[in-house]
Amino acid sequence: MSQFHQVFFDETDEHLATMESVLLAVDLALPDSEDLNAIFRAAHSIKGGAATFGFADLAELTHILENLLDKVRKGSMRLTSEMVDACLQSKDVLSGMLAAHRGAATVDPGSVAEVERRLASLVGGDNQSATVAVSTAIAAKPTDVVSSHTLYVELDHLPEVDYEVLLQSLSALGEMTVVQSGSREQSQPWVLVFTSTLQADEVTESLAFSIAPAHFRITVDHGQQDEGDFGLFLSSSLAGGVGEGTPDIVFEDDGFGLFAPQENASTVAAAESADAGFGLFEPLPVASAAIEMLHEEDGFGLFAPVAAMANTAAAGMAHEEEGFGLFAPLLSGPVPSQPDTAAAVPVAASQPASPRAERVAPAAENSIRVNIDKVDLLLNLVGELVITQSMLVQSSQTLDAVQNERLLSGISAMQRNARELQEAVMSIRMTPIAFVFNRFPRVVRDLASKLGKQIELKMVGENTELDKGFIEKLADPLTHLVRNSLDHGIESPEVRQAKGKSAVGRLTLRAFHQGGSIAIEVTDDGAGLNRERILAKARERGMPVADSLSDSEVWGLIFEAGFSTAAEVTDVSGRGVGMDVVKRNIQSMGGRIDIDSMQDFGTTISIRLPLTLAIMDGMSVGIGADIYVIPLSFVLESLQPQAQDLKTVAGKGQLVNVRGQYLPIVSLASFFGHADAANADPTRAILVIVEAGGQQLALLVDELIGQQQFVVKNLETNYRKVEGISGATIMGDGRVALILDISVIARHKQRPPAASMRQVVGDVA
Amino acid sequence: MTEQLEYHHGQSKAVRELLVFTLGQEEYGIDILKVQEIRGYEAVTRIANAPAFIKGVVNLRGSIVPIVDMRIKFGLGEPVYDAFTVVIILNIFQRTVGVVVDGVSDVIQLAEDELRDPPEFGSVVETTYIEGLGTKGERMVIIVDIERLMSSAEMALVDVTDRG
Repeated sequence: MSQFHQVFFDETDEHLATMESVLLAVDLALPDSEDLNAIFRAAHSIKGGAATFGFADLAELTHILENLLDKVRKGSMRLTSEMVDACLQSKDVLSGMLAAHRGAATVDPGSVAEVERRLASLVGGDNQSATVAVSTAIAAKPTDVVSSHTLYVELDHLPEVDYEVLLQSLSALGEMTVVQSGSREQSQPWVLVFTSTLQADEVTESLAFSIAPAHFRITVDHGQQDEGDFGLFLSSSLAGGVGEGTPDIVFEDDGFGLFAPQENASTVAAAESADAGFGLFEPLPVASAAIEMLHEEDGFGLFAPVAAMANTAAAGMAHEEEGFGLFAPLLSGPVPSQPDTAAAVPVAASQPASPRAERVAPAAENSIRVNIDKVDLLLNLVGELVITQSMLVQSSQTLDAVQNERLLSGISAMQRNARELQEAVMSIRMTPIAFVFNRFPRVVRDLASKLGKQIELKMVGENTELDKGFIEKLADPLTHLVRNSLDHGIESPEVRQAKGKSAVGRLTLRAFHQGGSIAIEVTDDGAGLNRERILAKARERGMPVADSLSDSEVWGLIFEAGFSTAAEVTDVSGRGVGMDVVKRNIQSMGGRIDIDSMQDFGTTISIRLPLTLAIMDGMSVGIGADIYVIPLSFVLESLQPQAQDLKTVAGKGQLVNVRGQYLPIVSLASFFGHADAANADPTRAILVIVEAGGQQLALLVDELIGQQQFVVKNLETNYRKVEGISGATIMGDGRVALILDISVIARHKQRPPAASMRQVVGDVA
Repeated sequence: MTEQLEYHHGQSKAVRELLVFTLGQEEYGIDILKVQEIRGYEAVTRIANAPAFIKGVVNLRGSIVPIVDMRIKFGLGEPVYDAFTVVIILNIFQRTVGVVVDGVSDVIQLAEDELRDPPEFGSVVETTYIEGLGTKGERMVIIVDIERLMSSAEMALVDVTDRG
């Protein structure tokens, strides 16, 4: 059985993700029945799987969750934002349980009890009177596990339902006789007699997948019972017990195997009678649950009692007053400090946070799961093939075109195939950025409530694809940027209104292709960065800054290590990831990050990433006997300078005049210590103008060889990091060419500092 | 010879199999399990600012493998590169490294009693990477702890942080 566990875990992950995305998208006022069904189905599938694989805790919680969802789905309860909150909370707890089964730390039992209590109280809420009668009716025979039940099933005839399939699936579950076939003309319903070991509500559940609950009725044949008990047997069995303040926990009966576990009526009476027969009923002491709930306050900031909310708000205010960070302290005034306002905030804030206009498509796709190592291996092999193929092309060029016509046409066909194959394999690694973006509706929603702000999140271009490797690495930096925007960027509703902006802050996540790279932008319409504040902070830290710095240079300061630490103390942004780490993460992916900000208009942080890690467009250049590759994204132009354009500074540093701009010349031959460069004289060589880190420079090379795609290989797999080199690639002839790290070269502009050289040389001696 | 081999197989635990290569007049032995393959020397791509004994990197079926010339490293033999130059590809710590030597002579099996402790030279000769001396009749094979040598700081093959 355990070999299926991984599959179950993966599937459950998907179900949970679906549940969350639908929950966040659902319109409270007018919930789409398809959405509600989707949430219910997700919970139901998890429950079924969990019971099958013996994960009792998962099954138990989803069971309660399912009860609630089932009621909502059938329209007997109205969906409230409180329910959505509770469902999201239970989703979190379920994820935690799942992680625990996978080997992570176990979930705090207190939080489980808290969620169960919450769900149960919601189920019990307004339905008590309606369901108690029904559940006692079920309770009459709840322990009858082995004996079969005879049910009368009446189905309305609907044109959109395929009854043949429906009946077939029913007859697979037990013995079924059709008493009366339905027909549309006479508005005659189907009447079936169904005998199986299933309880009425289980049959209800199975049927509900194919036909709306309003269109069928199930009657239990208790022998003497008459039509009086007609009606829906809702699986809201917990209601009775909860009403009396004892949230009983129903353990699933393992004997039921694949079928959904039995929905036991857990009224107190039923609990007593069931105790002897099967199942475990463990009354949870209410008092301790209440205490645990108090302990949980921090964990569920959203749902914390009023007093706690006031505390957090007050604490937040205290932090704000310390004057953290780069954003003007807008929050201190309007942060709600009276308990009653604080209580009102989460409800108000939670509504605008859910994206109403766009529906987030559930992540389910027709796909197979493949280990990423296999894909990488495939990619490597295809890379090899492409190299071998270009070797063939090279050696076939000397052949006589007439005599070897067949061979040559075969080779050119292979060239095309190899390229297509390479592209196809590359596309396997490409994943839509939605995988990263999908977490943000939730993050924003929770944070907005916590901070008492109103945020509208907009996501654009979720289908932009980028390398799978980036997806995982992007999550942390992006989360940090989003949290920053919410915490420090967007002001509280009061301040916004005072500034004449709409009370609802806008946060936009946008992903799109731009040239050979992918751009991801996090835009808020908040307060913007505060130039004076950043400069003051920089001086405080002893950085040499002048007032004449350009805006972009000032914004760049917040990426300095340790610069933003003061801004990190709030519990929202305090995740130990400073902006310097964000920048480093992005750079390690070969990307770059820029800030654009305007006081009171907002801030845009844009990230640019190469399309993929594995393949890169580059320009190969010759330096002496060696070939180096310059990533094309850095190259602006290449030229052969005229003597009058060359200038020197202090007799050494060479500059070249390119249309009025004087750019420093960096000789790659001397940067890498090669003595055999053919042309030290720039007028006989080629200058490649590159741009990195906001500055331009001219690289002196001997010749330009060509422009093509290169398969990037890691130099550090078998060797070590080399200053000024970002990787290696294999050329058509099988030789290795090194790929230049332009940003490092731009920083040093000459050979690496002598210190590092001495270390290596000294060791050798 | 045959007898000897069988004898050693008899007490297999104590027997070590070594690949013997030559540097100048000296014979060195390395644990054969570390050896992936033996190839001829092909043109390398040199690496900027690397020590002289790191010749550069080559493409070994798609992976980029650094090549170390042991002759330069130990100052033995003539660093000439021709059709007879041999590269031993080693697998060490999940890394692949190529080592240029003068030639590979054979594979020997050494019993425990044929192992001698490394000699004491004081500071004249660096003996940290010499595990011991193997004696086979008149032959003396210097047994090198290749893993230790290749991961040492002086080889500059791995980043300091990687070495753990």
